[in-house]
Amino acid sequence: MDAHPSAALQFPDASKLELDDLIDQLVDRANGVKRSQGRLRALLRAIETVTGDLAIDAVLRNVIEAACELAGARYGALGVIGHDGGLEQFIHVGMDEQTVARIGHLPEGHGLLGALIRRPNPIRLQHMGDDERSTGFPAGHPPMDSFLGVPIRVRGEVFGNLYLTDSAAGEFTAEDEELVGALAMAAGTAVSNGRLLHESRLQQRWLAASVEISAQLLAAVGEDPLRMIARRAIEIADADLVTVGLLTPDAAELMIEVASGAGSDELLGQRFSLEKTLAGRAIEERNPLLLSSSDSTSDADERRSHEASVMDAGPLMVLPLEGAQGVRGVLSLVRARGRRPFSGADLAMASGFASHANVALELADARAVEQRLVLVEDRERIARDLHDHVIQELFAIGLGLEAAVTLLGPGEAAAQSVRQRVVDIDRTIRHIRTSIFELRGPLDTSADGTRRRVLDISADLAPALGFSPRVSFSGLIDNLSADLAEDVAAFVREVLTNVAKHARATYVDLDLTLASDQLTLQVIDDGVGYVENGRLSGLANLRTRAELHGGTFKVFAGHRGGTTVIWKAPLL
Amino acid sequence: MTSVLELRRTAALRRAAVRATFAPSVHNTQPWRFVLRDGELGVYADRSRRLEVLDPTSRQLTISCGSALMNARVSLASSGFGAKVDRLPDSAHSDLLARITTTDQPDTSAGFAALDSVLELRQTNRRRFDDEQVPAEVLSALEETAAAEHSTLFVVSREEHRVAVARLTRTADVLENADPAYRAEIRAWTTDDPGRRDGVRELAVPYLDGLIQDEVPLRVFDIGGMGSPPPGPHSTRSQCLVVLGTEGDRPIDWLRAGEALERTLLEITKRGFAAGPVTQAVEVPSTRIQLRAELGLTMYPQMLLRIGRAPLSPAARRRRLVDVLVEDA
Repeated sequence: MDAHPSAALQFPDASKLELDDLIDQLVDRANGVKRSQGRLRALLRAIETVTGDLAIDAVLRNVIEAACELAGARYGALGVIGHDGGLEQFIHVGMDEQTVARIGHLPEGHGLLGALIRRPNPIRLQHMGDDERSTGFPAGHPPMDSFLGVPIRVRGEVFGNLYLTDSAAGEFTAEDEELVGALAMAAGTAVSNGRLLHESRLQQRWLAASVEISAQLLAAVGEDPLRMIARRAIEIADADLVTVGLLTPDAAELMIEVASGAGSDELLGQRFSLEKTLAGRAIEERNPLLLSSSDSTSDADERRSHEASVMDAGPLMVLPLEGAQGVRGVLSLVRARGRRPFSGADLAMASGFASHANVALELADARAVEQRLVLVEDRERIARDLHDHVIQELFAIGLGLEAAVTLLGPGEAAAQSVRQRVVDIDRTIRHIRTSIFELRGPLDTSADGTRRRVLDISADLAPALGFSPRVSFSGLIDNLSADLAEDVAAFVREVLTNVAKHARATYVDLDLTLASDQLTLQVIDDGVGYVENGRLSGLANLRTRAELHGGTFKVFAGHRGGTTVIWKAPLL
Repeated sequence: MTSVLELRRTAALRRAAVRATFAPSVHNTQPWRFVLRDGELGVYADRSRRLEVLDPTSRQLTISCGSALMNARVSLASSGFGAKVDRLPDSAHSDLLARITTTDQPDTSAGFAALDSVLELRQTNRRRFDDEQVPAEVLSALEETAAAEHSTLFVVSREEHRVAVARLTRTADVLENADPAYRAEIRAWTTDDPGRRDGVRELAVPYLDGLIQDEVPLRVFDIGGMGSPPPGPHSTRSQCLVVLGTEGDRPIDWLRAGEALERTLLEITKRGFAAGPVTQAVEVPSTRIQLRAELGLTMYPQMLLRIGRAPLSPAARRRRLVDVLVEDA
């Protein structure tokens, strides 16, 4: 304390000197306290800045700036740790743009930065280069000497690290470490709040979009719901490209039906093989994919995202659209390479969009079902009309004609002709009854009955014949015994097959009548005949069957060409 | 080895097919299929979607496909390619209506690039139109547009012509509606089903209660009484009415008429106007003949449009691309 004014006054008093010392110490301490207080105040101010903003990116930048100021560091940076353990985000201050450009790439989490990632405890070094964990700097990187690294924890998990280099004082002190540690804690809270806010805002926007899409799903006009889904998903999931791909009718490929975002115009209508795309895998596995990169890294199958053809694709989510009819397509969301990966929360949200898309597609299916129902109802109505009105009227006409015959006198030629018409009407009525049965087809409970079988067989053979046989029934055909029913089926199949193969007919009339305990099957065609060709083995078999039932079997040529086959069997 | 240029061509043709699906079609039947193969785009008629009652000759179906063809041409121009169109190239395959290949010289004179940007805005508008007159220069521009597509646009301006159009439209409308099959067909193609991708939306058609009869009545789509834009289109003979026609009346003319129609509609949209069809009079053979006679037309009328200013109508739905676009690698 040579400069002390009291020294000039020459009081060679030892106690006086001691007092000076004491006073000096007190002043020092006071200054120290003042300085600490100042730094604490700076810390509080820094914390205030950090927590004042709720947007995470702004929070992070504030943290670095506050930390640099607090610890007197020249350079500061903050690395956010990704789910793969590398650095997902690296924000830095203190370096000018030219230097950044010269270095070229951001640190990836090796060396000291990596050490801090693996063991999240503060690291404080006087000379970075002396530490064995240091791997040195890339070319163009400015020299850095002292180092302080502190982890930032968010809700117990390490979120990232705060790195400071080049202390203005030459090295960072324990006090610096403590202060920056306190700031990191505050930053963790701020990030946590920011995340919560971000999530709840996202949730809110997702709900709003959801309501909008739901309304559109039920609207018959306006924007295509799939298009709206893509448009809202790209915005809310912060994606760069969203596509909805649907399986082509042969289910071999995926066609991009709707796309929103970068390159969407080019993707529309494009087809992709399922084997070569990630979408194909999502469809095979019937599970959503959440990948941080669109490249095939570990996969032997080298599948890529279909979006990779129009953009530099990075993180992506692919969700299969699965309905009652199986997988229909995929909803896929992509971010550009280098952007942060999608989170679990993003996937949950995308699943919501996917289920909306599903509803949109299912509704189209439901419509088809509904249309079928309408058709069935319509057929039922026609059948009822035919039965209740048309047949009754024909009956009435038939009866009227019968009465006319009596009036004419049975010997008259005209009477003969009228009687023939009555027979025609009877046959028409039988045809109508068959039509009614066919119209009610699938709804009829006696679907396994003989009539159904006969109709099915004639429908089966219609392509071979080139036309549909006209089938008529009368009587309780459906109540035949099992073996007789079996023989009826065999008869119909055999005769119609013969006609198809050999007769070159243009029509076949098939009539089954059950009356007075006798079953009569009659088949008439207008073909060239098929019996004389010696193909009688099948027909001989039919005769045997008829005889087994105590019945008869006759084949004869019609008087104007064609063939008539009659098979009779009594009911036992 | 496919070159970059070939890839670009294919991409442009694919986009053209996608844009083509935005074309208007009779009853929004979208009766088309597109096949992309070997660097050419085929526009096919899907005759399973033909209106058996209204359009037994496929005239309106072909016009609809012609409109789709125009969209494809517009899209190619905006992609920087010219279009070489081979119309009805194969007499053995009448469903193949046009074959489009690209050339390196886009047709810049037609202003197609500007039309591409309004392609999705074009809509069939059945609402009430403003009283505002369509300016003469707009109409003459539309006349030129139609002429560039081998068609003629006839503006119905004389009073006796207007009266004739109104009367013939009413007559045709009555004749058509008297046929239960016609009504059944309309019922089948009018829907409020959110799952359906074709057909006319009940919300897009005027509410008609049968009491108010417009002077130039629009087609009654409102079978279920569910129509929306109140209180009726108020379609009168004083509104702007135009007839689009062609010199002949064969499939090639119908296809050309469709192209002219869509190009005209896009020009109308670009100018901020709306348009809607009033086609009954050209659908019924007898009124069509009378229309020619009374308007003194030598051409065959293919389409009657009303043009004006109107609020937007809800957008029509489009069939899924997977159902209309086929591509062979």
